[in-house]
Amino acid sequence: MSNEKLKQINIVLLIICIFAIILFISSANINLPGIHQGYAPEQPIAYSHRLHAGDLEIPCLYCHSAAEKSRHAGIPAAGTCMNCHKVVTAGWDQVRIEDQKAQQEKRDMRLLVSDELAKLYQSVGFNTETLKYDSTKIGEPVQWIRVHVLPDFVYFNHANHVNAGVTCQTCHGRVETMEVVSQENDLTMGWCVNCHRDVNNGNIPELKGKNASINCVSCHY
Amino acid sequence: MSHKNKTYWKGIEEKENTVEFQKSLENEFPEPPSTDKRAGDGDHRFSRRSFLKAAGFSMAGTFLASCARGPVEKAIPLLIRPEEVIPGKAYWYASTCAGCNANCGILVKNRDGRPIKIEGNPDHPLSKGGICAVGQASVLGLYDSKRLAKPQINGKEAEWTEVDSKISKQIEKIRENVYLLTGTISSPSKKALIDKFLNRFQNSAHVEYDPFSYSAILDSHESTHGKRALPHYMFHNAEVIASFDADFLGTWISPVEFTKDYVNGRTLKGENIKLSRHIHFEGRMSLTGSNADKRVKVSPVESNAFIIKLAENLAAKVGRNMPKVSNSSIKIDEKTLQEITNELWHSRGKSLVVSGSNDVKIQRLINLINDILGNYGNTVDIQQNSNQYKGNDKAVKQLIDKMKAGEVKALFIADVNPAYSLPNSPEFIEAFKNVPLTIAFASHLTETSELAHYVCPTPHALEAWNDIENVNGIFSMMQPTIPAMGDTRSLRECLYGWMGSPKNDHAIIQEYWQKNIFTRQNKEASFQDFWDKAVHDGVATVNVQANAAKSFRFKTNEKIELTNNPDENSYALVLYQKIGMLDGAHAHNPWLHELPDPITKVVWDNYVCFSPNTAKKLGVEQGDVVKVAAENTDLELPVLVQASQHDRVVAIAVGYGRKGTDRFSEIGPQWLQSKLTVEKGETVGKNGFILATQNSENIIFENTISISPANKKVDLALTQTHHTITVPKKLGGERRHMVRETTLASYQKDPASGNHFEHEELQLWAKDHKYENRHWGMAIDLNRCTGCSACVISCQAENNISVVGKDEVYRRRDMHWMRIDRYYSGEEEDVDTMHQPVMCQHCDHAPCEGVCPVLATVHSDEGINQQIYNRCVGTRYCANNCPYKVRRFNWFDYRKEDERENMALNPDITARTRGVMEKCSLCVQRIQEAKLNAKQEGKALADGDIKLACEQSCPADAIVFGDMNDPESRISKLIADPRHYHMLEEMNFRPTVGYLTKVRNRDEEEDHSA
Repeated sequence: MSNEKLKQINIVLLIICIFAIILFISSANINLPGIHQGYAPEQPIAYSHRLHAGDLEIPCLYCHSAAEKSRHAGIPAAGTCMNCHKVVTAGWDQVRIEDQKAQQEKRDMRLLVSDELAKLYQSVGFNTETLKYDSTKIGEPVQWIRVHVLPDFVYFNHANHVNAGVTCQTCHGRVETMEVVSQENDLTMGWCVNCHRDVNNGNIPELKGKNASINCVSCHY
Repeated sequence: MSHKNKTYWKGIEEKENTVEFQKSLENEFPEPPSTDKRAGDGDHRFSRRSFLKAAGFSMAGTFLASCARGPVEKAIPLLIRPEEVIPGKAYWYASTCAGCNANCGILVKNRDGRPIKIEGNPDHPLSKGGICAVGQASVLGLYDSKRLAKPQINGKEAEWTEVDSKISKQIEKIRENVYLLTGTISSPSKKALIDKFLNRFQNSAHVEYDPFSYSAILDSHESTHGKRALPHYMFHNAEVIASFDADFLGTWISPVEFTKDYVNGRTLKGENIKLSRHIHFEGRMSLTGSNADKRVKVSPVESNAFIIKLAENLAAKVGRNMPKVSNSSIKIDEKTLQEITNELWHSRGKSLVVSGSNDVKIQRLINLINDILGNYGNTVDIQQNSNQYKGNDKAVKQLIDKMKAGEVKALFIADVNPAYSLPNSPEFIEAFKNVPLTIAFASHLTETSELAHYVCPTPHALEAWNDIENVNGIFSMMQPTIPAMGDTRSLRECLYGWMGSPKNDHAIIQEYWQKNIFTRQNKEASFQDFWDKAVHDGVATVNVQANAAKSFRFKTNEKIELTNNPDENSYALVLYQKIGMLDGAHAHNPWLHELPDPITKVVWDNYVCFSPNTAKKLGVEQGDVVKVAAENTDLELPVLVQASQHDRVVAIAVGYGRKGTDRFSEIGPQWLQSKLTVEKGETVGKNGFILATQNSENIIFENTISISPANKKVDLALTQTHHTITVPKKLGGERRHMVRETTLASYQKDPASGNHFEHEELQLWAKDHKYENRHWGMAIDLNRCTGCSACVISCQAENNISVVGKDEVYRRRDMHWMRIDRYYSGEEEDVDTMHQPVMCQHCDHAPCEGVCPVLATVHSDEGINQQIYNRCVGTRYCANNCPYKVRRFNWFDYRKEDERENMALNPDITARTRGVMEKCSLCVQRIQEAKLNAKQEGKALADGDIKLACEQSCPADAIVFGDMNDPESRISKLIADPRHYHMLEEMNFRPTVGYLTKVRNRDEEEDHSA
């Protein structure tokens, strides 16, 4: 065989290999490095967004209030949780069962503390018997697991987006339906830039007239 | 015109156009280091085996790294969030810098509880928004893990309770002879407390000591004005400034304040051109001397002769008597003397004469000159005096004598390091051992504190409360910006506690202010309002207490002895403070070690400066080690050949050779051919203080020395001809007009003089790339820039720039995004100096953009040349193609010597990894932040809302940034100035960073032309 022929065969083989790799990646449903779409880690407290943001309709910004002021949306301080949970110590289902039981047994309702909320109380030093704070028993803050993590070379600012009128769901998906939060979108650069382009082209009605920069240094510095 | 024909050069090798220099120009990156023949280099063969090893490792490493999934990140909120604390938002605290005793006003940027950046406080009446390199770098000092975190008793860590009880018990027994040796205490509350504490003992005293002493100025005013104080100098009122080796733009007393005032006296705005005339006498080359309109090269003795003759001439004019001068055989240039006498006499009341000498007799003559000229009250204020330096050399000497005699029962020593900085430090150490109770207050284990029985760790200035009266009536406030990281206590708290009633700094200062300072003002009715305002503003101004100086008197019966120049075989030694290192207090700060000296451009070392003639005469070259021998002591240091230095003068910087600086030995990347920044067990540089002398009154930072070669050679890492924009010979070798200057006379005739270089300007993308919204630009006024290098450190702090160590700098791999090019013109013996800050020029036709194969560097629609780290694959083509040589490549992952230092990183900026290119981004994070803030407040972005890091800190206000599309902006006005030009504009890169020509206040014939 001539050298020329060998070369051609080599090229064909190479192309087949590349295709095979691409096929493998797409069929095995593996993410490219750094993409964590579908990531839904177990949190230290089984907090349900479906219950709070969905059923109870607490606005996202009630807890993530930094989102309109800062680059970080922020995880609420335990103190914010305590605004309600000083009074609400257990789930509604548990309370209803206890209520029925108490009526049957003709006694007062017992104080119920759910296992998950007990972790919160421990961290802020809240005594569930006296329903008072005990400053000597303050524990460690809850160590939540970050779900949406962008690489360090990306600068993302929540305030810019929230103030421009981008809804939380645009990027985070319908968190109010999620029992465990998972990363809905792939959060790749292409995904970001496509949305920015759509805004500039007027394809997103609620953001008409807004200007979304597609300069590199808008996000990378 | 002569200035148009000036030839500029950065180093002698460039002037002489040596073969090595031409070779270094050819490549953007130097030759592979293995072919690099260097002094003391061992055999660095890279064997096949070691190559395979390295290759195998890196392949395995890459494979493993690419398999790893991102680490699990945690998000830990506060337990209870204070309402005003928003994660990710910066907070600013007004405070006071403690980098040196000038105590400038600062604003501290605090992100998520950590101070990350220091900027000047524009509301401070003295520093007016400027801050120097040392101040900028002090934020890194906060995160130094070698800072003491626990008290020590006889070298062993202990608890405060133990220290308190032991010291209290020991003090109980002592009734007399208790001494306190501190640096200058300009805090009124601290001073009052010290006095109260010492009052409990008989025969006790508080001695203040400044390592680089200004004692003679204070002593001389005691003699002439009856008040031992440092006057407050006002350079903005001076039309003629004569400085005798006082480096007032660099290190002398309060350089930031003086730089502000100095450049404000040199503005070329509008009809009223106000350009002071600055004449500088010195033997070495200082930053201030490099900015002078006329620089007179004199040895210390000649300088004294000049002062005496000047005083005689002026005294004759007003008919005053002069003391007798014993020896006047020193020859000085009569013509210069006459000129200067006339110029000063002509500007009576609007002139200023200062001297850096620490000789009382000389300083008395300076007072006489200023008094004859009527400068007191106009440019020199002794009524409302400065408190920045109050040290008393004589008292220090007396204290040591008492210690030697065993008379001192207890010695408290705070924030000074005499065992290092005294010329007779061995004598001090011996005397120190005589004292039965020694208690040191220090942030580090220093040469002095490690000798003490008790070491009390003090907090960093960013962790503490303090009050400082810089100048009478001006009180600067220092407040903590982070909870103390160690178990530290201030001197004030300790003394208060040992008097029986522990109290914290905040309470002590507040109590003092309520009693003593609140009562001196009538603006605020309630103390709380007054206090809150002082803390908020960082400064409070109150009425000045009557502490009047007496009228001028001068003893003429005292004889002044003038020595001769040293004989042929010896030289006059001048010790000086280097910008960055100062008196050595910041020797643990790597940013300052890697800051190129504004004149010599050397990093990580001190050295002996020789004039080119002297080096030739002695037969030594740059880097050769010589032995500098004084009467009882000697020092081995490498030679640095410094243009325009006096032939009989050698200069050595103090502040080096601090114990423990070998911690930096592995600060740079460690690889097969790397060399240590400093050998283990050695120090960075050598201690120059031991060469100082002492006369009957003061410490004199001069000496007579002899030089002998030591037959050794070391590599000085100097950035002098790094990144040089000189066209190599083989490419034509033509001269480019990078820096431009003119004289005042020419400028008055034609404001564009010195700037007549006509070029056709082409616009390639006029139609396609219109900057419709904003077009950012920057202008740097070379007439204001003094070269102080504050911007370099400011940029480093803001943009997470790595420290690379001495060896990497030697290999031209320094990482600073900003450099200050220092150009000389004229002959080696007598040069003119230009300082030019250079960073990415953000060219509209950027040569780097066209060659990037992966589009990692492209233009934004606001005119910024963007560098995208995650896209960069490290081909380095861009750096190769950059005509301004401003791109820096990450050859390594630059490890932090100190992990805790990561806390000083700016979280808004990517920390770059190995293999990517980086460069000035025009602080795009600040642009974005300002835009967002304006949007949130519903306002349009105004000119001046965005201040870049370099611009903010510039003590000379030389840098202006803004929108070139706004015709009313400051930048647009500067671009319209006839002095405005672009570097290499003939090449048509269309940079958006421009420069304004320097105007020297001198006649045409005075101007050096080469």
